[in-house]
Amino acid sequence: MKNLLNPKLHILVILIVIISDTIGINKISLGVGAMILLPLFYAFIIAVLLNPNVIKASEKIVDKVSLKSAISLVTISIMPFIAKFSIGIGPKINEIINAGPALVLQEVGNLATMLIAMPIAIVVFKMGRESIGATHSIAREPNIALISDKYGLNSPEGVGVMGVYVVGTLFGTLFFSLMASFLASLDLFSIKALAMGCGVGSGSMTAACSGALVAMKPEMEETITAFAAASNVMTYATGLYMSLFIALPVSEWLYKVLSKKEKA
Amino acid sequence: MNNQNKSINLGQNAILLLLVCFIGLIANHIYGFTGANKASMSFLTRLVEGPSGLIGGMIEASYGMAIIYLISLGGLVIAKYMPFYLPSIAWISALAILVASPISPVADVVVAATAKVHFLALTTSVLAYAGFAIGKMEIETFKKSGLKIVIIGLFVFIGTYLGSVIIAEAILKSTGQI
Repeated sequence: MKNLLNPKLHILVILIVIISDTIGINKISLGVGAMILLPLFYAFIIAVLLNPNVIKASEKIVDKVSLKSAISLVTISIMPFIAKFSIGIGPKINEIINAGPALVLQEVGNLATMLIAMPIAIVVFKMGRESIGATHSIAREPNIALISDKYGLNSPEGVGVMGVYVVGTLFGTLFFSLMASFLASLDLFSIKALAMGCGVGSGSMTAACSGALVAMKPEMEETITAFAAASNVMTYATGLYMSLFIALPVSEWLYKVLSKKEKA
Repeated sequence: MNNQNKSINLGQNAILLLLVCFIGLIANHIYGFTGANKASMSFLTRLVEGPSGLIGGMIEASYGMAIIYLISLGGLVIAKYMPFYLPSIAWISALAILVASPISPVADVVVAATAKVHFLALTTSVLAYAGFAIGKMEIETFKKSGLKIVIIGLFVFIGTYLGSVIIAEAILKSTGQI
């Protein structure tokens, strides 16, 4: 407990929060569309730069021991967000139940990860069985547990899943907010569909994705958060089973097809 | 299945949740001056108006934050004492949906009070802690796999997002909801 309440870590976080939220939401216009930068992204960058595991010189500001509890605080600090986000579902529950079929079936869309990424991994980058771990899902904690259980983390599949996990940790929130805001600015899809896509089963990526959508269309805020939250809850509930019973077998099959073609 | 949440230390979590909710109140107040509707506000105005008046703004949102705190803690209690395992955030989520849905007698109060707390303001601290949580393992993995895995990872995210959006759009259209 004493370690968890280490004041150094929390004071730094408070300072980072004040700075990041003061910079606020910024919109970058591009020729064809626009992209949104969110405070959560600045907060992450500043913390990474102050982290002595990444930048050695930062040891002068904060020592590694003070950071030991940071991982536990990630788990705790996501809870109020999840509570607030899910409260948004309550008043919209009838609208969400009406959209039930879309909400359930878009979960299948999460399988499209491998359809795009695996061919690139195998054909372009000549990757082996790492590609199964890397592309069967978005590689968050439940998927790591699954791959570790089935293949072991030292297997090629394990190396693959850890690789994409780290990419998600480092670039996930930035990428999701840029992708969602850019897609929204193109006006190709309805805001409900764009919001549902945000529920990928990772709290921070879902937050970044729906936050960017809200910044693009502030008047739609309640609809965006309700649908993103509902989709994220669905992924929490079904994600692991989808990976185990559908995504992994399909990616094994796809791997065989693609690697045979590659050899021929 | 054994409930691995049995080992949750409620007292410790209650204190830490209090801390992160307090940080959330700070973020929320500043966000009021820099949020989605005010993205065009000049940086100088943000700098002056954001952190100033911090205490007053924090009190206004504190009722909503208290509700969010109680739901988070309540979800942890359920997670600990249920005979089967589900992630604690799934229980927190379920509890939040329940108290804010039309069948709940306190739904109006919950929705009105928490409307003063913006969800994005609650994520700034999460990502700050996440930045500090990066350790040797992440850096080593990143160095080993390099640019290749970054590109593949980005295509994984594009696939997940586009796949879900396209299916949702098609079904919403075919059922006449958009």
